[in-house]
Amino acid sequence: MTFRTEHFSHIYVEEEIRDHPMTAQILDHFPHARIIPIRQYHDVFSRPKQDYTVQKHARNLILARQHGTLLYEGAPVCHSFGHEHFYYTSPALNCLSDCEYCWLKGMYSTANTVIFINNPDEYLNAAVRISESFNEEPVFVSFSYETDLFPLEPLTGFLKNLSLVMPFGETVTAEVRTKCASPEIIRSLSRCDNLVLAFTVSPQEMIDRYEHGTSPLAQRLAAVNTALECGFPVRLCFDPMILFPGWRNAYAGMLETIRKTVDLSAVTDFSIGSYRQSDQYQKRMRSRFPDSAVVQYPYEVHNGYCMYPDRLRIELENGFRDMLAQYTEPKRIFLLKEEQ
Amino acid sequence: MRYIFTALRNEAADLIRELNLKPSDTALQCYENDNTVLTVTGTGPLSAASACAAVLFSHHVTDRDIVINAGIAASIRNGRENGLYVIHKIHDGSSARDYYPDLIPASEYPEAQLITGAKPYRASNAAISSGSSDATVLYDMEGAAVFHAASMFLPPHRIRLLKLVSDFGESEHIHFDPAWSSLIKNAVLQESEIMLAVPAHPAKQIPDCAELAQELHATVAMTRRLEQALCYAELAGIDWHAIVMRYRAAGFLPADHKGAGKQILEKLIHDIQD
Ligand code: SF4
Repeated sequence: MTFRTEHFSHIYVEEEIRDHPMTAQILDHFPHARIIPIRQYHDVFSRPKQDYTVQKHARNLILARQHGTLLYEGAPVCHSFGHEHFYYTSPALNCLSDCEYCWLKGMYSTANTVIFINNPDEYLNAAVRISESFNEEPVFVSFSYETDLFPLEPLTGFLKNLSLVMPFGETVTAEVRTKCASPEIIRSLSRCDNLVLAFTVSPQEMIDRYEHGTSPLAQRLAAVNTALECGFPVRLCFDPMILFPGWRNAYAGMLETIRKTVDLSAVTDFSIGSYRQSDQYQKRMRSRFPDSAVVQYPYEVHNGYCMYPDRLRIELENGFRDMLAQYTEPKRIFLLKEEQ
Repeated sequence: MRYIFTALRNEAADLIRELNLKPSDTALQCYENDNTVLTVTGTGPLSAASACAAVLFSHHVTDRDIVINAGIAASIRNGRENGLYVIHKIHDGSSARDYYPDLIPASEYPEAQLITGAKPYRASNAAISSGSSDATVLYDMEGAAVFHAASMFLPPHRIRLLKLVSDFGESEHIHFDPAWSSLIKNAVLQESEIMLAVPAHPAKQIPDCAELAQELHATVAMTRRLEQALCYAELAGIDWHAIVMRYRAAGFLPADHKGAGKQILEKLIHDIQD
């Protein structure tokens, strides 16, 4: 007998969706998994005293159904890209990647992942109803608020189905953000103008230090080019920007690499934002991840959020914005402070 | 430390012998050695929960410890006679609550669900719903109670239930087969080895900065900020000792008074942040 180190050896399935075709499709990928019926996902997902650092070596999967409100208003510390009506939704909770700074680690006490067995058109319909309530004004919906959907796509096919229904919600713009470079997934999507593929790009040094289980920079940039070739609106997100020894050269070097690799004039827009985290979550993360430098950094607290001191935040964000503005129109660069 | 709970003395007999456990001087029926406390709780959820809570509380358990509840159970469905099972779901019949042990190991033992009730199981009058028909479902009178009590102290991957199928609910009187005790002993020893091998949650390493705090005339709040900054410095590979030496050489330290100390602390944090 040994301590398990493989993922998804146990899959917890809400009784309500046991016979749903999406459930069967996902379970087909795990013929040897133990399937455990549950009444509601919180019974497993929110167990007290779970240990992320142990669980991340042997994550389990929870399949559930989302009821009631499917869309929530976005937080003020997130980019809305000029949209007045900014919402987010969570077709899944938690992520298969392991970024040390991820806010989900402050919000949830588990490394397990929930996939909601809801069809993309349920989320789209909810967004369309919101738009209707604002006289058909455009609504922006982030679909990757509490997960990265790309690594889950081989199981769920959610993104492909979302790309198929998005043309039916003309007043809605959806954003799916990722650090997972998969040209195959991108090519499997149906091209549509209101589905923005957003790629988080970070210096390779930062990926190596803090973004465990994500794709290297070169692969992310190759995926950006695939998305551009396929005709999707593409967003590059320099968010969160993180300080680490040598960050000035690292960010400048990354921009140089991007400029040489990607046709920046074809990119729809860019977002820039330095690390910020709810003070409450930061406290939890500090006790959960005592070995992480990015978590233990002595941040300053402003209005309940931990962030870098102004002098560093401004150098980081504005300095990068100024460098980027040499290669693209400034109006396509979104800085969080300016949006607020 | 390993905490083992059984309902019956018979269930624990081989463990007590093998581990050379000695009766301890408490009101509970406990047997101990340097790394194990075995408690015979008596049957039923009230006895099990109260004994478990009392033992774990009085021993000041930490999240390095483990709890195992082992014993016999009736099979409601698909259980193999004398089969030993690792429990992956527990349903408490009284409260209708469900519990889920975490990180079930890859094991030679099959897995099962467990229903805990306050009365002995009778196949003839059971009205128990238990999920899909191919699942193995067992019944006992202690599992949920031990899990509930232990959950107040430990994470769910440090609590394990091991159940041996003794019967199928045909009769009120179970003749205890002495071989069961040996099967239970083997399972408990194997399982606890795996559980104890799982690393405990790492503790935060606070750099020793008592002397520096004194030089700064630091209050409790200032000391916390100092510790946080130095903790980051060590993780990020920043040589804070060199910075402090520079401050001492420049005559900034020791500070003359608390106000000056506060300013130097801010400067130190500033230097570390950059
Ligand atoms: S990819 Fe995004 S959601 Fe996933 S761990 Fe990293 S920051 Fe969190």
